Amino acid sequence: MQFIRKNPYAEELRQQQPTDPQHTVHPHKHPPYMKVFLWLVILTAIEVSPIFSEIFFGFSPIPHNLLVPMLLTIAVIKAALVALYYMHLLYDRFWLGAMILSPLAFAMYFGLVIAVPY
Amino acid sequence: MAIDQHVAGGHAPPHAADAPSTLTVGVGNRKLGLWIFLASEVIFFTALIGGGILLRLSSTPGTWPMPGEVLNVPLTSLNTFILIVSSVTVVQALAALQDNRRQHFRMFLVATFILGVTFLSIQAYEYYKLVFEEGLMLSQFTLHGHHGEADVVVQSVYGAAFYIQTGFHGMHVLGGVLWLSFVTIKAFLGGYAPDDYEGVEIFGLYWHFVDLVWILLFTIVYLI
Repeated sequence: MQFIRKNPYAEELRQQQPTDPQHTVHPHKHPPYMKVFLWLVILTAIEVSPIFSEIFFGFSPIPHNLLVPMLLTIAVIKAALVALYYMHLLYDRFWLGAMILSPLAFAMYFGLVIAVPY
Repeated sequence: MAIDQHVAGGHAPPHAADAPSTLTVGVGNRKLGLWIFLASEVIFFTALIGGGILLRLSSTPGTWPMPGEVLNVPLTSLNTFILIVSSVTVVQALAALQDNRRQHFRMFLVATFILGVTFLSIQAYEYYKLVFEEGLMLSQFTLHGHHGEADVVVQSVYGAAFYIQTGFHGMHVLGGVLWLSFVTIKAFLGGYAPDDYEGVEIFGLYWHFVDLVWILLFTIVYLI
């Protein structure tokens, strides 16, 4: 008797296996890559516009202390768009995302501990 | 292989060698390995970026330049755009392969390669300008005086923080370009198929991760 755990994804995997030796092409539905690209470009344009205004026109429309949280928020949104759509985390196994985020959570905790004296 | 056969229903699937190698976790071994590698990269980059932030927070006032004071933000914005476009070309290459559009698949790989090399070239040009014209060194930077004022040399670890963060990222792009050259050559030699795309997919995951890190670095190092 074999004690190999049954793969819960076996049926899904079997369906993914090619059955036709001539490499049958199954129509793939792709994530909205170009829409995400457009958002990344728009967010980048918003991100750089205050500093461009400062470099080319000599003034920044947003005070620096407001700018920092705004820019960090936009950067996190852009990073999340890349991870969810281009790295397929939105469509892939949940635990892959959890695995990549867990060291980040630890790093943030340790960073916080070090940063507190400052 | 025995386990593969077991989970796939006790018979070897046709083209078993082309299919993603799979254990009981539902993700190909190579893909799982790459994700574990990326998790370690998260630790690495978080340490570097976190170290940079802590150095900045603990620096003496006036020893950390304001955004755009030393660094060339417009040039780096162009580089950011190039890296984002290269991420799109990678996913389009993968989509073209999955749809069996071989010509598009190869074309998008070549486009990604060109964009990656362009990013590195611009970064090399940026470093050259910073070192030889702006005077940004590991332990000091130069504030150029306006209207005939003398230049001021400021002792600071700003340069060290800048070069270690962007340089480490640049080495990752270089690694990605080298990896991509192998993928592209294999693609032109007839490698990969609509049901054998794991090699392209895992390269894409690495490339997007490098893009993702740049998105964060660009904001933290150049904009704030």
